[in-house]
Amino acid sequence: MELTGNPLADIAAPIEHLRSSFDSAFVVDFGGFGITQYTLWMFIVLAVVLAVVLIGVRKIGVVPNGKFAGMVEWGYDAVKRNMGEGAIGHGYKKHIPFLATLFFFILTANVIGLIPGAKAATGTLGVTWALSFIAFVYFNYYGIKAKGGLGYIKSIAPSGLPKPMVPIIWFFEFISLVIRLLTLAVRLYGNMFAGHMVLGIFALLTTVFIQDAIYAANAVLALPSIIWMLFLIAMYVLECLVAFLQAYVFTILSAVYIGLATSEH
Amino acid sequence: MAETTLVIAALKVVGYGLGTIGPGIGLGLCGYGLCVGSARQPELAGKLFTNALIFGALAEALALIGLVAAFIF
Amino acid sequence: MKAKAKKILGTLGFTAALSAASSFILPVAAFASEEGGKTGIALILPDMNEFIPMLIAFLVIAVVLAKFGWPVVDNIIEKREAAVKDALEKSEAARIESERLLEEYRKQLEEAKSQSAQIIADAKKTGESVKADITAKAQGEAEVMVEKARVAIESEKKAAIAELQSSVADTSIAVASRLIGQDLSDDEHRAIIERYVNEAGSFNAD
Repeated sequence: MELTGNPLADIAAPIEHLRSSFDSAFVVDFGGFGITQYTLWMFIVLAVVLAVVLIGVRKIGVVPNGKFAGMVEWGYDAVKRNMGEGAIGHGYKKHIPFLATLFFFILTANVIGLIPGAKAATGTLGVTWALSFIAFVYFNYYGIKAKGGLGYIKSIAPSGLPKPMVPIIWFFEFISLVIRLLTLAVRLYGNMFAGHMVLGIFALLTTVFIQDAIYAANAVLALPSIIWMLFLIAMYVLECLVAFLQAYVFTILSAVYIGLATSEH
Repeated sequence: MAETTLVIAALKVVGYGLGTIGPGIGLGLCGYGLCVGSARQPELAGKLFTNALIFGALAEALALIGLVAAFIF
Repeated sequence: MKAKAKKILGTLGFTAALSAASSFILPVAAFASEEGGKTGIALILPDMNEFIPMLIAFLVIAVVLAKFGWPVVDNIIEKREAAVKDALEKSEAARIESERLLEEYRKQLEEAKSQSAQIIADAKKTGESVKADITAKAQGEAEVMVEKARVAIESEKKAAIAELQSSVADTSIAVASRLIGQDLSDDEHRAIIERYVNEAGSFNAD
């Protein structure tokens, strides 16, 4: 990268480079189709989730048996109690495996994305669309199974409305239902993508300022680097929080949608 | 030509930024209602949380539509 | 462990093969216009290269975990809950039982104590009565003996007085004969003196 003495001008090119590095690029290219870097990391996350859960399951026993198994058990219990009983209410038992898998997958993907050099598997729209699509199909399917096809469509508008308003309300509720597919995906993608972008930008700012200070032999230019570094550390901590939070929000929203779809009233 | 693209891109970003004012306030109110309601009647905290999530998702949908609109148009 | 590891590797390999194959088969979203990126609505739509593999992979993992992973955890949690509840109930029952036994033993101790106190009181009473008995008997005997002694003493006294009376008669004759200077050998005189001695004796005996 070329350096002039002005860090604010120098920053433009590296940021462009950073932004394009977030685009999906093929790692294994079969001529137009292939495996992007996000897909690669998604496979790694997949392996980690399978390994963690299956090994943890081997180790648990009636007497609590160590931290690893305890962690898996605690995660499952948290999903069951918090999201199952809390959000779904009646008849929650059969949805728990799906929700637990969703939660563990998104959590692992986000947390692995925190490691420097690794890409968050959920940082691309393709992956989050797939998750959102699966959740959407799942809750609609169970809604139709619980209420029958026509009953489910009729229940999109809440009960207890005066007759003339029902079509209007039904229309808006229907839009809101379809939007759920989009919002689940974009919420997770936006959080992951923006978070990592901000981390990258702060890191770039630190580096470029220091480099320009060395290039222009002007020590004053290096001083803002301390601030960028502090921001970087703060954003990193926030990103850790956001990783857990986004996994939790995705799963509990799915649980709430399932509950809304299968509730009886 | 490049200027117009830049201007349009800038307007998109500004438009999205303006569009997050409403959902921001809405979500804040949602959280406020949850906290105050849970403080008054802690035994209802579970149901209140579920409702807060539902309405929060509804409000956030508008912000996300704004983001999508900034991308699409 | 080996079985599980093989299962994991098998799943992974299968998923990778399937996604790669589907990336071949299904066309990528044909929205990429310039080499820079996509425009318009394509920015929101997913890239098929990532969408399909993710879909398949997630379905595979959901099915595998729902069959092999989560039910075990569920079972263990329920078993643990039941075991804890069982242990608590058992310990509660044991506590109640032990309290009951304690009450019983305490009652028995009380009874034993009262019984022993009773026995001691009885023994004391018996001892006292026996002592009183013996004392009374001893006293009675003593009185009888004292009576007997008194009677004996009386008779001895009488005998001694009678002897004294006869000796006093002789002595007084001797004295009187000396005083008088004559012999009082007459029986009449003896008879008179005996009469006087008797009177004096009875006077003395007063």
